[in-house]
Amino acid sequence: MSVIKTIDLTKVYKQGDYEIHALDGVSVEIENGEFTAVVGPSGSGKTTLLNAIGGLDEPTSGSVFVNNEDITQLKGNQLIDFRMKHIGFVFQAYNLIPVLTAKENVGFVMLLQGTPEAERDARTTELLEAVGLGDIMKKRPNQMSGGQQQRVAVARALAPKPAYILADEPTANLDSKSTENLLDIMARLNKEEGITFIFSTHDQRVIDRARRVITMEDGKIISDERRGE
Amino acid sequence: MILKLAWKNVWRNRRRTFITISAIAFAVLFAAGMRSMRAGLEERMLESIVKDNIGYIQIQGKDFWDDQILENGFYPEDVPVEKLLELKEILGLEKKLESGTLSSTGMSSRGTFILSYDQSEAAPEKIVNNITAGNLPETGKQEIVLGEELASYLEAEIGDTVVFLGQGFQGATAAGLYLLSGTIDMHIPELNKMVAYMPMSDLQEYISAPNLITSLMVEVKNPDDVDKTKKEIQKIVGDDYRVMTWSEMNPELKQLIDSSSAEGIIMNIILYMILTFVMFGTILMATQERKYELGVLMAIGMKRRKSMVMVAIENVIISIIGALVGIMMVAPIAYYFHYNPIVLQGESAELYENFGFDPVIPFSINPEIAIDHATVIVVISMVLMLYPFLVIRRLKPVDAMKL
Ligand SMILES: Nc1ncnc2c1ncn2[C@@H]1O[C@H](COP(=O)(O)OP(=O)(O)OP(=O)(O)O)[C@@H](O)[C@H]1O
Ligand SMILES: [Mg+2]
Repeated sequence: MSVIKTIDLTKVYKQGDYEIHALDGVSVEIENGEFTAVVGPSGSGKTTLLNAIGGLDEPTSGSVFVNNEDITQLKGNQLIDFRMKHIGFVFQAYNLIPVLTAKENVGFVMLLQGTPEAERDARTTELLEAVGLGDIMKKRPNQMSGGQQQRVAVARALAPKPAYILADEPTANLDSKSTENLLDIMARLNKEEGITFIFSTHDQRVIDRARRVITMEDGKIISDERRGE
Repeated sequence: MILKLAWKNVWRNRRRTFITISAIAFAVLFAAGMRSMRAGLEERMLESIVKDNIGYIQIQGKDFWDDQILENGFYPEDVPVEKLLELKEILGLEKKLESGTLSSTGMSSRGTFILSYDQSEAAPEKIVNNITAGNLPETGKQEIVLGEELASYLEAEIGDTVVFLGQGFQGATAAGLYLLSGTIDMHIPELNKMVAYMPMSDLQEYISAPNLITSLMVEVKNPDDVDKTKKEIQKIVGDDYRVMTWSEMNPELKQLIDSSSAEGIIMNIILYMILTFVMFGTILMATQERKYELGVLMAIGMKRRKSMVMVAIENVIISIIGALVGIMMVAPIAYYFHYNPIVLQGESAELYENFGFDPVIPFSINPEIAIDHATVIVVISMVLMLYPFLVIRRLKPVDAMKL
């Protein structure tokens, strides 16, 4: 079953007299449970693609189906609600709300959804333990390392049980050990819980761990390769 | 939850929060402090010139104001006093009788203004308290008190005899010898040079007009409502009497107070404009700095409206704290200067003296002043909140989160 399906997605930026085709007719399907890396040179359109399938940015044309719903048709608060319910985000950096503790950050989306406290508490604890941070639940972002922050971000993205998690260069600011650590956690969650991950990266070590690699150039997909275990 | 988040956000950039709170607090301190000073001055002017002398409202014979002769006085029995006292706004009525005369001792003489007080009532505090030497005159003993400066001009000591000579009621000659029983300081230099006080019945006897008075001074509950009260009184007393408010009797004072408040308002507007810029600066910085974070919040599912509420609460918390701190700072200062008024020196002192009162400035301790200014500031901060609202309304997570 495909979670995400894009049809002929384009995104055009007008810059003065000429146009930049950040996405140039991208059609791609992502299946449930995939562990996919989007790669390609800088400016090839990775971020633009992730933003489009995350409902963060409107494509110029084309559609994005998530669980068979065309999210390009959603407006304003509908879209915000949709993101909250179905999509988990891990950004490159500064993911967390600085004034909240690790645990509060993870519970934040559930709080917005109105999840009862007991349930929220159990789930945040479970998630932080799952990303190996059971011992720093009370720390604030500025008391954590970059790797720890990204793991908290993963835990937060998972909290509302989204259909998939989008991560735009989640390891860009991490050292190699933290990168390994984060990837271990993502791979495990993918394998054990069947969570769909889509991430963009420049890092060869990260690419090596992916089970599907989509390569982009000039806003087009130039190769799409599935690997076995 | 939003409240908790807002509260935490307030304390996250402590230095900036502190700067904003101080700016607001000092603005309140300044604005309210200045206003307290001006209001104190006004209160004092009203107190010493209006309340203690002419009264907020006077009922007079209809021609008395234009021609202040005894023949234009009236008899209190003719006025429906009971009915007047039924008005809620009227706390009391005080009979007044005043007359010009010439006072003299062997050394010198001077035009004198005789004021009287109703000896059947307790002697008014303002007279008792202002006696600087000797005693109040005793009724029927031909005693008087003189303004300090008048006494020294006449070179009269307590116990000396002073001669009064003038016109009585309906052409009668008024003349009498009086014993100086004390001196008085009315806190109005002009008055100290020419005033004499005696019990009303003694004055009535001196002018040969038993029971005659020149006006009824009305003690009002709310000095701000005098115009309305005046109309009600006029309706009751009818056309034979003229009802005047203090500002009609002393337009110069009214003008002085008005121009002083106008000046105060202009200063406050300037102050508030500066404060608005300072506050806008912090709000601008704080909003710009947090665009990324607001973008993240929106990306993960926080609705714009909630973000706005959060930012609004943060602002309200900061401005209310600032306002409270300001009120707390201004209160002890106002209290101190209320009980230890600033004493003016030199030229400005002269100015006040020329206007007719002591050159001291006691601060007002009316709590409304500080509260009003604090409210203005909270309102300004609410208006400034439109900026973050606008930013949040236009915020697109993708743009906000560009690194
Ligand atoms: N807001 C924008 N306005 C104009 N052009 C833009 C905008 N955002 C992206 N672009 C352009 O679109 C193209 C694709 O950008 P995108 O950020 O998707 O690349 P990327 O593959 O994520 O690159 P990187 O690896 O550097 O993150 C680039 O040429 C970029 O300059
Ligand atoms: Mg990118």
